[in-house]
Amino acid sequence: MKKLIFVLWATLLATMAMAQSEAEIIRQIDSACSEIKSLECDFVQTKHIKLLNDKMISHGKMYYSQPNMLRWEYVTPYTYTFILNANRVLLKNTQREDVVDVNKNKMFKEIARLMMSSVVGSCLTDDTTFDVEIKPVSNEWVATLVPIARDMKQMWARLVLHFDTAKRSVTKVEMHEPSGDYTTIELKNIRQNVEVPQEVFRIN
Amino acid sequence: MNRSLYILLTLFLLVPNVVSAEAQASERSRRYNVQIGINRAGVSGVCILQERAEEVLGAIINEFGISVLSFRYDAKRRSVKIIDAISQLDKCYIKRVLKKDLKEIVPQLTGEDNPIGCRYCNERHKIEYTFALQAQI
Repeated sequence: MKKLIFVLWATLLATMAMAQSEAEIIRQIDSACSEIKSLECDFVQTKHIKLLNDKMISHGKMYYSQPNMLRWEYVTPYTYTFILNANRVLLKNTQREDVVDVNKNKMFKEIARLMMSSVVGSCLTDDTTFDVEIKPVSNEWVATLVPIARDMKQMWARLVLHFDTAKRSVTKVEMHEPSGDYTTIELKNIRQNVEVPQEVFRIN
Repeated sequence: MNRSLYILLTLFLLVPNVVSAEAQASERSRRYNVQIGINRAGVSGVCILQERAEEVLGAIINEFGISVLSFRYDAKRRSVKIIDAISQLDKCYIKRVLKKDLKEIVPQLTGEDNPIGCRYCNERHKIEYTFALQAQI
């Protein structure tokens, strides 16, 4: 009986320690996120397609400026630009250009919010959108985010964010779909709080 | 006896590799930039087609890497099966239209002619498809 009580007590302590450790990691990341005024980086996006046992690799550049400006530009093997500037989104490829008001389009609003919060790492504290678990793995923190809302669950089974423990910034995002396909986005040459020309976020 | 056994074992080990190499040689993959226009709306991305012996496997993915559609085209029966579709397209009446259109489109994008792309229009529903070859792997 004494042994059982001891085991239960030890388990409770270990769980509380883990929870505190998780809370501490999230606090550190959240604090680092609030210090990010701007971000510029290159990215490599790899889409893994289960049916074809194949992958598709794209390269691009990303610019972010607080609080709500994001430019996500694919350079190879296709050219495609996504610009979020306050409430407007520009989608541009070689053939057409569309401007969407995110306040009138719920899906775009969610996509834009998700993209920004993923690259900055601020989605960890969004407990209305995701169930979050975070743990240290080697020299990084790995956060697993499981969507709560039904419409987001239809798009994503889970998101996984990898944080560099030294810089406390996102270095990789994994987006796992219910079908088994998944996309990884690796951020490279990350430059924080550099001057980003406002021109890159212009939507005519 | 030992020598015969040795030869037999060697053949047994070699054959799967030969078959595998042949299977790989008969598979061909093509990638197309794709635009699907419906009235004033549109979807764009990449279409990957993998040709196998008597079927073509296809996947349409948007630029952000989100899977829009995956399908199997049976070359013998000239039929399409939708394997997976993004929730916005995962409706019976939409899949029916897509199957019918892909049945016409896939043969134009595959085969020995090395097609560089195609345009197809579903007149009834005013859907325009444009495929342009990206790379051949």
